[in-house]
Amino acid sequence: MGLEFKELDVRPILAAGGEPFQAIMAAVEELEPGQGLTLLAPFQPQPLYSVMQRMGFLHQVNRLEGGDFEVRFSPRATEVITSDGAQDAGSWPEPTRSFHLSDLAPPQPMVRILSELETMAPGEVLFAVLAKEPLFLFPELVKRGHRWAGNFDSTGTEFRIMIRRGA
Amino acid sequence: MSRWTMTYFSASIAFLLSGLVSIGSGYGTLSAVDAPDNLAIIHLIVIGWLGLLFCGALLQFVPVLSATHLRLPWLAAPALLALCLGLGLLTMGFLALGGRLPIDATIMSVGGMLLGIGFLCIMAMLATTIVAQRAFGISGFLVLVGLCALGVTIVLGNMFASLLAGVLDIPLLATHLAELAPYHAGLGILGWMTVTAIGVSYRLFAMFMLAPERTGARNPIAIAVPCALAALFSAIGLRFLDAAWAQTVTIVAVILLALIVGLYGQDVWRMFKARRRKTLELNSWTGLAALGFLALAAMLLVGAVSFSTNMALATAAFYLLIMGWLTGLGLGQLYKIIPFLTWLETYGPVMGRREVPRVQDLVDERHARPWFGTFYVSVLVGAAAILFGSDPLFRAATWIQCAAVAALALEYLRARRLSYAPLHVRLPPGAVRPHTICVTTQTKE
Repeated sequence: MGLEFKELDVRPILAAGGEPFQAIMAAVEELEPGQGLTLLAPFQPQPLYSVMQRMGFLHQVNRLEGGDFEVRFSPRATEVITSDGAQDAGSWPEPTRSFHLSDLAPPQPMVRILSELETMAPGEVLFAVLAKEPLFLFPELVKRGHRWAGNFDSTGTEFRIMIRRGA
Repeated sequence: MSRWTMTYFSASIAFLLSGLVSIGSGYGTLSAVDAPDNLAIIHLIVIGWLGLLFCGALLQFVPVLSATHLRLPWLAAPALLALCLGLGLLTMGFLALGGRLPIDATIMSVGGMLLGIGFLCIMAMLATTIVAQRAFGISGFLVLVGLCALGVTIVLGNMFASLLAGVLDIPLLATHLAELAPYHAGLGILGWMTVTAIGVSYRLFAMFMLAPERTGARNPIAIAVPCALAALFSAIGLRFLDAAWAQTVTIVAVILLALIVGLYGQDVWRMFKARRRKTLELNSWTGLAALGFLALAAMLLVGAVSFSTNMALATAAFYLLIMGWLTGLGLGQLYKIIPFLTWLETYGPVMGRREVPRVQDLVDERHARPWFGTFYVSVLVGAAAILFGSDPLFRAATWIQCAAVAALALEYLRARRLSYAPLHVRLPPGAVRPHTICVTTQTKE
């Protein structure tokens, strides 16, 4: 599962001349374990970043149409999922190829990864960054004898996967 | 990949076409919505087309939304069989009630029970799959809530079938049957299908538009939907106690539903603006058009329950929900799902080893685009015909719809048969042409 985000729009509070800090802290208090917070604000809330970092959240900023900002705070650690036999992924060799595929529309990342794997030697490792967990790729990898391990990055917006070519 | 999804889709399209042909050929009338002929056709379209379409799509997508494999997959085939048989018997029962078939209407209640069994199988598969994951986002949550509405719809439907067939004799129920029927329809179409479609489309729109998902479980919709359903359930109970209160609670429920539609529309609009894919595919555009019909229907429905003198308004609202929103969305998503599943099934095993076509090579949007346009225009004409009470105009609109659906069904078939795929990559060595109505090479997770 991707990270879940709770959304808080502080623009109305600021527009009314209010101070949104209390509302933000209240929202953070209410987050469930593993849940993130999406903050919508008319400017970048710089002072908040260090406060949130101390509370264990990383942030990612997107500029919205109209000049406002969307800031995604996400809890730092995310769970690693693996195929059978990939629990030793930590001791795999360094990836020989690495790709950033999160801007490709599905299913192109799947096609790209499967093609690359065909040209690699057994035991070699491929690393890729994707927009979401590749649910249709997982079974195909296992069927071809490859092993994989992956997790969401700290912002919950990208999935990183390591794939070790089978024999 | 779920083995029976394509079979569900094929059966559902057959039911839709048969329903449309029946209306076009003169079955049913706008003057008495609850006439047996009308009920036969409405159930044919709502259960046969939308019900099977939703079941088939959910069996495929709930595992994807939940990032796990489908639980109890062996129930899919018996469920389909029970649903088709049950619907057949129910339809025959309605025809018998209307004096068109010289048989005992008792078969209606048997049909109702079979439908109940079929839907229970579906509910069991979906619910166990969703709750198997520790956390489920708004999509999974809404699908689960929708299943509760489906459950109540089935119970009401079975009571009605038994009453009409004369199997059950409860005078209290019989006197309230006419008042309760709209709740049965509302729970099925809004409570189950609309809520489910909203839930699933959060993930689908995000996926197809490459937009950030708005899936936080604290989304206000996650509170509004259970409240609206609770209000609908309470209104059903209140019908037996106090009609005035029941009416007030119903209005609250419908206003909540309209609010949900507004919140959902706002979320989709935000996703649309934040999308990274600038050129949208046809299925996204048809989905957005369907949403327009949902908004229109919600407005008509609020008007209909607030000023309940005008029956045509409520009928038009339900018509727009069934044909504009759910059918429009369904036809559009099939145009994406069928090519995608076909592509995965055919080329998955050889991908990376041979040159294969892209998913979009399996369709030709230039052929489908005018038919989607025709379909939506015919729905608007059909709704106008209901408001003006014109049977001839309604039948004409239905024939046009029928032509559009048949043309789109042909496009689905072409995608499934790989007809548009460039010849040199259509069937590379190692790839097998898929079976038209069932998945033969099942992918195990």
